[in-house]
Amino acid sequence: MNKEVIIKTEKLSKSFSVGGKQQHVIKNLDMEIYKGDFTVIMGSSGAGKSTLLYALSGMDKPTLGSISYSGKEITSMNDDQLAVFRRKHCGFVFQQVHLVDSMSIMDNAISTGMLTGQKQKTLKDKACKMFERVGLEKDLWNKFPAQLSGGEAQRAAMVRAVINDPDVVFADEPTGALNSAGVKAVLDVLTDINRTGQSVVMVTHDITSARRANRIIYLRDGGIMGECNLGEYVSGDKERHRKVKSFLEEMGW
Amino acid sequence: MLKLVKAHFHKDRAVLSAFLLILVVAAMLLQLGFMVARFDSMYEEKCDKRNIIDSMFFFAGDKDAVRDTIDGMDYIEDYYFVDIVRPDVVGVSVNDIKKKDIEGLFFIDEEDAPRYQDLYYVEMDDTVTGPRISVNVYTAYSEGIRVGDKVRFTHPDLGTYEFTVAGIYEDLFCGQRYSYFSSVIDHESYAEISDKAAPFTTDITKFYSLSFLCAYIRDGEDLDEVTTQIQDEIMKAGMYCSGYSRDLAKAGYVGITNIMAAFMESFSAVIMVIGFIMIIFTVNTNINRDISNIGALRAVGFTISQVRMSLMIEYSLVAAIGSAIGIFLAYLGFPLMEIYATRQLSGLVWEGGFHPGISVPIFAGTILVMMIVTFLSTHLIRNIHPATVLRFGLESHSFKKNHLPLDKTGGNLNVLLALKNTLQSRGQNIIVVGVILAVSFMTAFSAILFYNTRIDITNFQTLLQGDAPDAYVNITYDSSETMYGIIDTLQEMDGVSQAYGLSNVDGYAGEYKCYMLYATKPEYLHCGVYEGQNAVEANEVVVGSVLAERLGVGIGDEVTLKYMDNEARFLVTGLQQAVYSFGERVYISDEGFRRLSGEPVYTYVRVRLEDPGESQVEAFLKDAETVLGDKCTSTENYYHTQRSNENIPVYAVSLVVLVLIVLNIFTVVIVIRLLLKTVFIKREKEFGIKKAVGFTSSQLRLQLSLSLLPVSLIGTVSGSLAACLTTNRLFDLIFSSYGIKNSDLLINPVVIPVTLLIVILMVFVITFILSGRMKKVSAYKLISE
Ligand SMILES: Nc1ncnc2c1ncn2[C@@H]1O[C@H](COP(=O)(O)OP(=O)(O)O)[C@@H](O)[C@H]1O
Ligand SMILES: [Mg+2]
Repeated sequence: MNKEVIIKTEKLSKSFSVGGKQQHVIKNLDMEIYKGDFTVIMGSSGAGKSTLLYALSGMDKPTLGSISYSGKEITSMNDDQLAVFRRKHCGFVFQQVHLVDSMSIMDNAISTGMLTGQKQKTLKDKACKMFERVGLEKDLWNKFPAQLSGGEAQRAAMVRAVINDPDVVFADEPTGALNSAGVKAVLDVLTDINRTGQSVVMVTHDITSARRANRIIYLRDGGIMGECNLGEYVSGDKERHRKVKSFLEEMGW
Repeated sequence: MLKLVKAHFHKDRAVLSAFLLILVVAAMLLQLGFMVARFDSMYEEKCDKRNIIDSMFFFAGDKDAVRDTIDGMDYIEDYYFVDIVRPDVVGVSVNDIKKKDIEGLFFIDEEDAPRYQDLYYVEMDDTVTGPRISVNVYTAYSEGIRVGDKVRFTHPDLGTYEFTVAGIYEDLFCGQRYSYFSSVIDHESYAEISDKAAPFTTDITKFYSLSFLCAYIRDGEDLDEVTTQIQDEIMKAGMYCSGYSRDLAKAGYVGITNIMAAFMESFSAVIMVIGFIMIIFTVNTNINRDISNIGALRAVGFTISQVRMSLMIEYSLVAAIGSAIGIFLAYLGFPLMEIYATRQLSGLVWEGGFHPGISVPIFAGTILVMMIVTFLSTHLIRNIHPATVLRFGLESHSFKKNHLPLDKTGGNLNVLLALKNTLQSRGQNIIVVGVILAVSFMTAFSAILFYNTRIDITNFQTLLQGDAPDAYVNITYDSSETMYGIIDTLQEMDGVSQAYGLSNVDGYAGEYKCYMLYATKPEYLHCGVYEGQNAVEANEVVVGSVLAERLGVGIGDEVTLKYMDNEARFLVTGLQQAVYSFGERVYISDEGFRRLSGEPVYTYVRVRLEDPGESQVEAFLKDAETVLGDKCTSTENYYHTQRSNENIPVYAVSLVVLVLIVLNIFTVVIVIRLLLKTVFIKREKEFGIKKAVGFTSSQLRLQLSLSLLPVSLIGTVSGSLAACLTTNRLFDLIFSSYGIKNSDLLINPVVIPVTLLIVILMVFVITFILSGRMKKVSAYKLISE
């Protein structure tokens, strides 16, 4: 297996000072994320999953070590350079959705798309197609996020996440606040996105979501404890389910 | 309860400190305004305390004759005489630096001074010996004379005298711009100067050696009327006499300070109003933000009035602290203002100390208004039912319409998002329009003032003093023939458009006393005719506004003018206004004056150039001096004087303009700071999200700055338009007691675009700078919460 590395970290460390005391959340982490993978990061609560995700995505700066995208260092960039980097290379899906409340979901998608200089017309067509793909009816497109259900809003957020064709879509517990129907729809979209060539890095807490991955990384005390590689996801694959379950048990989940 | 207040304080620290600043400035300005306004009553008090006379008369003649004339007047309670020497115009240099000539300075003998008036010495150097002089505060501060300076006076008839300045004193009668300026010189110098002046006492053009009649008038008499009567009686007895009442003197002392005070008080009011609007707005936003908190408080048993009370206490404390600091700063800063502004504007010395009559009402008033404002703006709390709030929260985002949908509206991303935001924030827009309107009004108003005092001064000058030429050429009078000859010579010189003589005497219109001005060419005068035309023919007259009202005459009517004992009828061709004469002037022609058997005497010629400018006037005056030789005693580049700080009203206006500019910037900074505080509270999450998806801080700041522009634009256009439309009416109002009916300050329409540019740029730049904390908004923090 000779996959192309898209994100590579070297000796990555992240600490916070809490009440004057240093808390080392990520410690000397070396890892690679491969292009086209659906990577899932798991680990117990407080293991540093989110911290790692946001460091990987250029949202937060690591304390030490480096992160590079296809060989390009991002650790030395300043905030604005990181913002410009993110808009081109990273898409985001958050547990709390985080769409801009004051804009319709269409405008949420288009405004993000305009950041990379795409034409409004192109963006509109693209957004329409994506909305249809994630299963949002046309009459919802001009609604405000607050007027949508959690699952619908999360799917809209995914349209925004991919509007700039990012190299990687990052998702931090995207299904954490959804009911089971919502969960499935969102995971289906992520899988779909991944199938069309986008790399996905998702932090999750639940095994149903984890099964969608073709690579699971287990985090503990700021380091990688183990990883599990799987084949392409097929729904209803019992074997896959067992494999994931036993991997997690092994990790002491 | 106290805990509640404390908790609020902690949370609203930033916003509260901004309000504190607003209140500090407003209270300071108000305190300063009231203090400056205090000069009015302070003048009266000082007069009472120092037993100042009610009327004063200059006369040239025999004291016994005067005594005989007035002894029968029962409205004169008491009187005394003081001798003076009063040259018409003297050349002045201070420490060998040539100053502008002073008109109306007079000398009193040091030994006679205590009889003249109970002068209050501000500064005094007893060690100065030899020829020494003390001058009144007004002259000292407007001429820049200090104790220890060497002052030299030159006069063609009286000679040259050099003095060391020994003291500066407050003169409560002759130390202001309307009458004459007193100075006290040592006995030896006085003896010398008065010997030289003695021969000229009978010369009608040169009353150098004069006496004062200082009179106390019985209470309840109309001072102006009585003063006129006394003057008339003395003149009837065949002596030159010119009388001044204390009312007139008072106007000279406190006229400008009263106007300044009015300005300061109104600006303070504007700032207060802005502040209180902001408070209503902020309290509302904060209640919305804290709604669940308040709901929780109510759930645990606090009553509405307790919650409300805690907010009121919180804001009232801010009002108390803010006004206290403002008042304190005013007391701290006033001495500076006194030295640099009010002394030369008023000629009076401030009586220091604490003025509870001013400060206590400001302090209490600010707190009271604040309590009312917070009470009114917390009415929202009443509608909060704890259960509802705790369970559902208050719908904080009730966006109704998606303005400018991006799939249908094309344009620049930053501009579009900014406009979307503008269209969504209605409450904020109202605030911004209101504030910017006020700021633009002040800006346009100061731009108009600036234009009229620095760029094109003609109308402003006319409004104040009537006719103002480019140059004065002072001439020696020997005969009528040479006098007219000189005027003709000057008129013929290169570059001269108008050369004319203008003099004034005291006369009567009907039964009212007036200043009678006659001119060789009345058609040349820019004397503030606001209705009708200049008088031209010998039987024509222009009448001052107040006088016209008293006489009940208008254009086309006839009035009887009287000079000495001669009367003639004149046809009113125009109505005139000018602050300095209280609307009590009449303008007639040279020939008109002869109809009253007057003999026109011009001691200076007024000249207007075709193409005036500081250097052109300077060059012309040089030429004139060469051409006229010793017929010309001195000259003045009045083009320059009018535009310099020696022109006190111009100086006062430039102070006002300066204060306005500082206030404007201050207001905009504070208001935007406040606005941004609430914006960051309300929209922090949005900013975090936008940052996460790749907006840079500068983009977000740009959007924020742009989002204020459309409403600012509306505010600026309406504010500057309002200023253009109302400035002259405001001036009419401010100067109404001076007989100003129809101010005609130049309103250049350029004011509107200039204001627009200044205000919009200011709003944009200040918002951009102050939104620097956008950098600190972290996308990551928002998400990890
Ligand atoms: N901004 C922060 N400041 C201080 N401590 C933080 C911060 N973010 C995360 N942490 C700490 O880092 C640890 C890991 O957090 P996180 O990455 O959110 O864990 P996970 O997502 O795996 O549950 C936690 O102990 C958390 O308290
Ligand atoms: Mg997490």
